[in-house]
Amino acid sequence: MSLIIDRGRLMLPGPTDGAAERRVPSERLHLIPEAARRSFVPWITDLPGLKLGENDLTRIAPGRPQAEGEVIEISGHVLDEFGRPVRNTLVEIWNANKWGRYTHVKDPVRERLDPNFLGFGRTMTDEAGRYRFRTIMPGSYLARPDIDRWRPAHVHVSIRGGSARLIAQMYFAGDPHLARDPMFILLGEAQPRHFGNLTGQGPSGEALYNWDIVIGGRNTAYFES
Amino acid sequence: MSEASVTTNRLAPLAEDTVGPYYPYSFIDGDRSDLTRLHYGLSVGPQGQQIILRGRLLDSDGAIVDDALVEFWQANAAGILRTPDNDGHPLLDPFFDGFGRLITTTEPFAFRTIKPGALPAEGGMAARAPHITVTMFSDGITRLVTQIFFDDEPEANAQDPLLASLPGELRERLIARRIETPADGPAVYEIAIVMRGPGETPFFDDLSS
Repeated sequence: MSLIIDRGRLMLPGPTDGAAERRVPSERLHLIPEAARRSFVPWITDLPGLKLGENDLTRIAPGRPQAEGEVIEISGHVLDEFGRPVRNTLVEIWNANKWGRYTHVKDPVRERLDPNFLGFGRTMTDEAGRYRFRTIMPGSYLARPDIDRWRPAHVHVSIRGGSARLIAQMYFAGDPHLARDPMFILLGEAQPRHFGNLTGQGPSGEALYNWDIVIGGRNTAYFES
Repeated sequence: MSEASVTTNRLAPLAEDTVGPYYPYSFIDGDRSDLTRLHYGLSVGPQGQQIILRGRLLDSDGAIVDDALVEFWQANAAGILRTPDNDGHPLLDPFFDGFGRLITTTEPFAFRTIKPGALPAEGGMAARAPHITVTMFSDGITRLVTQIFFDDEPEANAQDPLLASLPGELRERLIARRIETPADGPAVYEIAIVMRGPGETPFFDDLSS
């Protein structure tokens, strides 16, 4: 028996603030013919050289003053669906400051900027697929004042290297804004996987979160070797 | 807790999400919008015809989408992709790896590169017309993927299995038009990638997503 599927997924209208209804394709995605698969998955080897301290978002650079807010540590593994480590892969994160503001020039939120916080950092996974960041606990922010909708505290992550490519968000369990956040709601049954797991306290009292990043679905073409 | 955990030993992957509006500009370091040179100031570089792919990423209002992260992937001039499958291939170009990226502004983007060669048929896979894979991330969407072809390759395009999988009017939307041929500069090809609405570009997906 053969399964005949001639059209791919219909992308659901995404959640973000007017952009989705103008940007999400209205047509179903087209399935890639088997004969055309090989050129769809980039093999990314050209990654930046990183500077010391780029995985520590709590300071603009080593030796600079510490940003305001609660220091947290986020660490874990980047893995494929078979539990194998995704090694030597770039992990980028970015998050809002204590008051819920990004340093990005386009952020319209009028909350305070922190002169000691840029809000983005990078690292490479090691041979076991491990990564580690220190950052400031992000504030929630009023994303849609017109309908009083807040975004819960979250950390964005981007994975890039080899055939790995993923963009996702980590959330914090218990955040009161989760229940009304369309992005979190749209995660559906995947919601639990997007929580950092609070595992304890570090030597300076910082909260330690463990978050394993599992990459699957697309982009697995070259994991098999 | 998830259903997957009771039916398979595989780990359940995270859900792809939007990149949002605030991907840090500084993460675009090194100029990966120009693959015709490895570094500044070199008299050596990749083989092949230099081209510029000039594109407009458009929303359903016909407005250019700015702050989108656009990533490119292509074969070298000989049609060889720098993938693990091709390790040690004699036609790999040491000056070309084929991955580019940029963040869009309110102007059309310009990706300067080498015109990719046709991919040869191999291992049961069909030959492919010269093309560039384009992946887009922006606020409001998760990953969108398509492939862009060239209007001066009509014979190869007519044989391409991806184009052949589409109705004719959709094929046209993936073909970049050569607009000028300066004698001493790169050839310029133009493409509009319409994310939604009239003239919507076909985007692609596989069964494992």
